[in-house]
Amino acid sequence: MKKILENLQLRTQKATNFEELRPLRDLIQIELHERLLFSNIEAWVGCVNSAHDLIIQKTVLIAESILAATEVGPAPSPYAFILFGSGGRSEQTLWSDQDNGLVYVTNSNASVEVYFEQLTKAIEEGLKVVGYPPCEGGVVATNNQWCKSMEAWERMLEQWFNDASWESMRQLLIVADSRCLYGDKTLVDQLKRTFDQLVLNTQGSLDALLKNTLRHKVVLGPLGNLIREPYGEDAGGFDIKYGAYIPFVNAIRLICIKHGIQATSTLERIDQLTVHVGDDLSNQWRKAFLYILLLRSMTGFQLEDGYYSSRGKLSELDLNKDVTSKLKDCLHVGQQMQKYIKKLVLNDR
Amino acid sequence: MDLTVLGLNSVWIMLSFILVLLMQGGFILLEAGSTRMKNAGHVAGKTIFTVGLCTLVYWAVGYGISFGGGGNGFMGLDTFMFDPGFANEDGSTLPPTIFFVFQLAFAAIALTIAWGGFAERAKLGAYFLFTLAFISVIYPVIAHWIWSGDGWLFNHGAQDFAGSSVVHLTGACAALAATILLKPRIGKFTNGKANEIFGHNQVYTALGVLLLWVGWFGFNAGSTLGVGEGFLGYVAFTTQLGAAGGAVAALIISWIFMGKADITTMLNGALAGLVAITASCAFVEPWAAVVIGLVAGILVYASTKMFEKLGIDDPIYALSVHGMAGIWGTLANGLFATPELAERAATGGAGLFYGGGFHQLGIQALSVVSVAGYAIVASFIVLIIIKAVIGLRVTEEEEIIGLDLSEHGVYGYPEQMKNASNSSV
Repeated sequence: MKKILENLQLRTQKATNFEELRPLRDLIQIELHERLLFSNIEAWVGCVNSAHDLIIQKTVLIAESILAATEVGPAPSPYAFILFGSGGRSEQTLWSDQDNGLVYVTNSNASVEVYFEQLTKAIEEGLKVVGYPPCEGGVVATNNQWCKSMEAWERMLEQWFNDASWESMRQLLIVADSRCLYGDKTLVDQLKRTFDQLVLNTQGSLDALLKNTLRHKVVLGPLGNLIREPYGEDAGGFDIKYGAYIPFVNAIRLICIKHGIQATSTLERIDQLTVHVGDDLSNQWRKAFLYILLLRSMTGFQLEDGYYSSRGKLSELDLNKDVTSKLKDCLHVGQQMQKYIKKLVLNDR
Repeated sequence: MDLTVLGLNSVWIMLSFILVLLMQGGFILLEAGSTRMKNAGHVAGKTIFTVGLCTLVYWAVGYGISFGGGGNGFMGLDTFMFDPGFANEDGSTLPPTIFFVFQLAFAAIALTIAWGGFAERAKLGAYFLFTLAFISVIYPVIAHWIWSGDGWLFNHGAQDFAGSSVVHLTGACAALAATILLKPRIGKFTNGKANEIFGHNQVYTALGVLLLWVGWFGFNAGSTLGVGEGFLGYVAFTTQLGAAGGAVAALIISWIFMGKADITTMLNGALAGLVAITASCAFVEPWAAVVIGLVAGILVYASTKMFEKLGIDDPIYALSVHGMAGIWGTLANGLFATPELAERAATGGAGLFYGGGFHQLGIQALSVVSVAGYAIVASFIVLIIIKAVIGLRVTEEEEIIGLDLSEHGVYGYPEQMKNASNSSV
């Protein structure tokens, strides 16, 4: 896999337009998918995300240079292009869509805002050409809610914390997974510090975040049975994304918010939590999450309108006795974890 | 005949007839709610129409085959075009007119259950022709076997108090034959995997179940055919316990296996509990009624999944609710019938758990096999003939636009359709 990355790095560097990046996107799809079953899942996920990062970084760079070559010119202010969602957590699959945003230092004059509007539009167009569909929920830099100056970002975070509505909490949990992909990383670090400060200073914030965090329950029957998809193409399969992966991610994220941990990758978060929860628990969480990552990577995908996508469902055929038994163990760990965070937040009141 | 007893019996069974006839309203709501809005008007209209047609056929032929004389164990051979006269001339405990309408309501219920297999894709003509055959030579023959004093299963001691097998299993077997011949609705299965085709109104479905549940007190308690010593109260009591057991068990089982408390499954569970207790409501102790209901609730869930796995489209779950629960209810009688209650009914004997050994259970099993076998084979033959003559299924285009428009020329929800077409302009 190291060789694939080195090769990709070379070819990415040479690309001068979006169209030249598209075959590279397809290449990682084919080559990395083939290696999934023969690799260590942690290394594989790391490789997939490094590959995505390389291509997306280059996409931003090309978009920036396209604007620079026109009358729009270069960026008028330092900025950071941010990934949210699975990209922010460095947990993209081979078919993840793009949740992204942007923060810039200042909007001292109107032309700064206009520049970033044009830049984010160019980036989104570029990502589409390269094969990354924008997030259907609108968490994209072209949506001005997710593209702001630092001051405006901080104001918005404060509003969300004070508002404490379900929707505001959802937005805050998105921000909690932000990772700087391109540009001035210190801007994202500052945002995170502000976020942590607001958690500490806003009474009841963890409570409100908890409700949103527990929206997706670990899908395990009351008798410890696996709950399979009843209908449709995935009938007999398992919703690994919303039944296992997302509940794990959400739970670990909230524990990290509580402890002021700024890492975004779930595995990194679990590692940093060891000092708070002990070796046994963090090892258990790590093992379970790695297995869930493996199963999540095994879900079927399809190419539609030039984009790779997946329904996030593990096929019935993959759920043999061994997989089912291990998956149930992991889901049990997930259930315990959800109980743990409830208790954690309750004790914090 | 004591006129007071005759009067009381008449009032009670007339009321029971009304309750059972009103169950058609329950079926209309149940079927309409469980299917798509483009077929709602058709569902309601064809139910009323077939009850009308059923009445004429049952009066002309069916009643005579069910309850006519002739000393034949297979079918009755007289009393066609039934004309009972005004008075209760033969001195029986119930006027024959009231007995007739009460039995007619049962025949209509069996017919409506069969429509479950036709739902959303059968031609109106198929409903018409199948009614003629089902009400003249399918249902009445089975009713004769078990409910007529001459019937061969009756004389073997088969116990089916209000029709778990006679009404429900018979209707379900006809539905099975129909759904196999009609093949699944468009979109129900993709590459052998079942898709969920949602009904358009869950409140209709729930109200339908409630109406059926209420009507069931006429169905079961009315099957006492008289007020007697108030035994109808006991029958109503076990009926209520069975229904409750079915609803609770189905909800729990759906929660365990689906991760959510599924409303459709719970509603089916209530009906399955009612269907199952129907054979035994006058034969079992309260605890057994609860067990019969609980098992029916679990069974209906498993059965629904089984039919989907087999690629059989059961749009309103008639096969599971009336078929599987009907089989279970009939067999359960052979397990739980108490000697005292069996003696009271004076048909068969006690069940396996009450010292009756396997004898009664064997007779109940024979009932199930005979009823299912005859109903399926006869229905298949009739439906194959209908298919050859006029065809069973509407065209693909007609199915897609819905039976309201294709079969009747109007939508069940005209304003809704007007809004939809306006908004698309």
